[in-house]
Amino acid sequence: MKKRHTITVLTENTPGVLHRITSVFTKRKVNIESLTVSETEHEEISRFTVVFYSEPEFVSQLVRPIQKIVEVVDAFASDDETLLYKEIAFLRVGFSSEWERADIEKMATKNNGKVILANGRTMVIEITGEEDEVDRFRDMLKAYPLKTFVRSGRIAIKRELTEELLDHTLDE
Amino acid sequence: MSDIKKTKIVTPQSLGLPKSGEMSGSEAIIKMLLAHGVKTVFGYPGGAIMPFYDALFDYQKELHHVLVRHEQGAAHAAEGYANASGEVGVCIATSGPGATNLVTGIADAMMDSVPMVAITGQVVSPLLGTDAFQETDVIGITIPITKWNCQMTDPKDIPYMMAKAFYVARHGRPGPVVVDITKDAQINTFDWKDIDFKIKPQKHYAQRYSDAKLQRAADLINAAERPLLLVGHGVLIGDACHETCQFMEKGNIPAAATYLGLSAVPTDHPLYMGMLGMHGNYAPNILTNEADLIIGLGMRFDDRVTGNLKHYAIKAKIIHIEIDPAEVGKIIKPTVSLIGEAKDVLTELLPLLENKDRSAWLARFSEGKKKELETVIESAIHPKEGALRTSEVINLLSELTNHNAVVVSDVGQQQMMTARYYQFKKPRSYVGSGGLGTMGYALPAAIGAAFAIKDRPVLAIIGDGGFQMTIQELGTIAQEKLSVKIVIMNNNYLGMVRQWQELFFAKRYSATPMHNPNFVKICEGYGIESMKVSERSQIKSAIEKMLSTPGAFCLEVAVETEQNVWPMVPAGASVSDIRLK
Ligand SMILES: Cc1ncc(C[n+]2csc(CCOP(=O)(O)OP(=O)(O)O)c2C)c(N)n1
Ligand SMILES: [Mg+2]
Repeated sequence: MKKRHTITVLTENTPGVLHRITSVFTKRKVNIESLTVSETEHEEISRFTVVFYSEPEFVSQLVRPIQKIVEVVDAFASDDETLLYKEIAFLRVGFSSEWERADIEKMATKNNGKVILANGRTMVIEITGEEDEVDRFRDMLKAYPLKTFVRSGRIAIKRELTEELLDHTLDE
Repeated sequence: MSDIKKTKIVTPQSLGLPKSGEMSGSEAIIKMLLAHGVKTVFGYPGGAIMPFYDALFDYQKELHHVLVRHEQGAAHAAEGYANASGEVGVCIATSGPGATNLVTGIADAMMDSVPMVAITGQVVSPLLGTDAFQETDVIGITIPITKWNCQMTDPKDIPYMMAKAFYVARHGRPGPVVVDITKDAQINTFDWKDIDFKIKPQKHYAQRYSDAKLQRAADLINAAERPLLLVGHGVLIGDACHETCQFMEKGNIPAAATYLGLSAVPTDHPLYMGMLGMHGNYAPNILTNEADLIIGLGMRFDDRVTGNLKHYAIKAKIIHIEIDPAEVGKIIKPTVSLIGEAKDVLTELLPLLENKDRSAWLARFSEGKKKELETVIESAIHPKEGALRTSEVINLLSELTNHNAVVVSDVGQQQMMTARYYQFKKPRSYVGSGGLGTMGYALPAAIGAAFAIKDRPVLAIIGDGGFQMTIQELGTIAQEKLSVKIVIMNNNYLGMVRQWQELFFAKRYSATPMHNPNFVKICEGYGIESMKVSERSQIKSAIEKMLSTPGAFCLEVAVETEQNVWPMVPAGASVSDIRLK
């Protein structure tokens, strides 16, 4: 059965690496659900967080070619259970009365959301959480017109401090 | 040369680069090539690479440039050079169409782990991305078909990037690297005193297994009644032919080669059982499904080797010895994997190996060999009547060259016949396009091989179809006065495709008959001595004439038009369903 997986890639910060990483997914016809690239605690190292759905047995077929990329310092796959992960989303929602506005605000506050801008008949809510939490919040607001929906990719960190170099578990 | 190869850390000092002084990017490229022991490069000039060619004019003594007739030829020549010598092959092209013409050869090198550095010119850096004249996104195009690539817009990046290019191309599992250099980076200058770098081995080049795992592999081998060793390209690349034979001999372990593993073990070694795969030998294919242990050594279980995976190695445990972790578990899940250089792993494994009598198992191979000899080989190499057969010509070529040529073959029936019927005595005696199966490979690859090999004949065996894909390289052979012996197996068909049509498409010969030109006249036009034979009574003297004529020679052989290559594992079938007819 397909499951959600995260591959974290630590690479030298040079152009072209993104293309090389995504080309591993393209070659194997795996769709990327989300992708985040950012700096790390080491100035010259970038961190890619790639989320995708795949059969668990297949994940190593993606990780190992990524590990081979010359600029890649480390790459590892994780299940959601072993990670702390979040994303952030902005929802621009329309309302037509003060009562509706108050209703939306109430829902936002209850779900760890925050109204960060309101002008005219729309407001922008910021919400941070796991993908499913963001999805649920979006569903909750179904009654109101969603004008714009923006979500970041996932950022993830291992629950345990074991950013080990390359896995050694190659056989059964 | 070998010192450079062994050097683990590369610095400007280890390469003997200048300590100071102003230099143009173009000249620096040449300095870097020379620092890496390069003596011959294959290329074709054009606008964006002209500054480099201008600098080359002053280095004609140190660096020999071979002007090919099409950039694809440059890439394959670099491959042929690399495969025959084990050194990095270098090809050069201009931007745009020059670079895109290299693509087939680069992809071929990627598939077959060939160490190659391809240098491409690029438009001046201020014009990058503007669709300038002859601009193509070479980096983007070659990302999926290179081990690494990079673009240089500043001349002072050239020393480091070139050093890294060679390092990456040859270390670990070798592969092609593209370096794209803008025209201004070639023209502008830098000072060597500003150059400093340190290239260190990458972590994944290291060996990665425990002693316990090594012992587990040894235990599996020692316990096996019916082991079979699969010898791959990694054995040749990793210079492990000697250790491989020791391994076979100590354990009485029969071995079979993949197509690219040909010549790693001498064909006449008593434990060598032939070639694997679709047109390989009968015994190793059929006995793959009888073996209780398969040891994959420097190979990747390609689909042409395994046939239908569901019915592959059905009774066997698997040991996979491989340098590239990404190949382990990709196709076959091993019982034990040992990641490392073939030579290192074998050296560690050898002392743990027990000498074991496996004569009953070996006898099964002899039976299979006998069956193949009687039903296939005898009539293939000693036919009594009918037109000349490709197989008999190859067999004769092998005999008349004392099995001592470096043989380059193209793609198709003539390729499989060469792989089957030429007898190899020394490592790196066979050069061919494996994973990509690139028609047009042989003629330019033979040019490269001829620059690497001076003391043995270089034999190019090519079909009438493939010959016409890179026929223009006859011009290169003539200009360089190379002693390449070309044999065209002319069956007036795209033979291998025709064979499939005969067997699997009800003999509907769609787009496979070929109307061919007069090859002898073409060769003569290029100033290359040539002749055509079609009679059995003349073939021996014709080959002798070819071999005794100094310089290049092209022998066209009119062969049986509808000969098939047997045995055959039909696509999608199990290796043990190999057909003898
Ligand atoms: C560039 C390229 N195009 C097409 C093919 C498909 N193909 C494989 S073998 C073959 C026929 C080769 O014919 P020829 O060169 O005459 O050799 P023969 O099989 O007759 O010995 C073809 C078309 C290929 N391998 N490479
Ligand atoms: Mg043909």
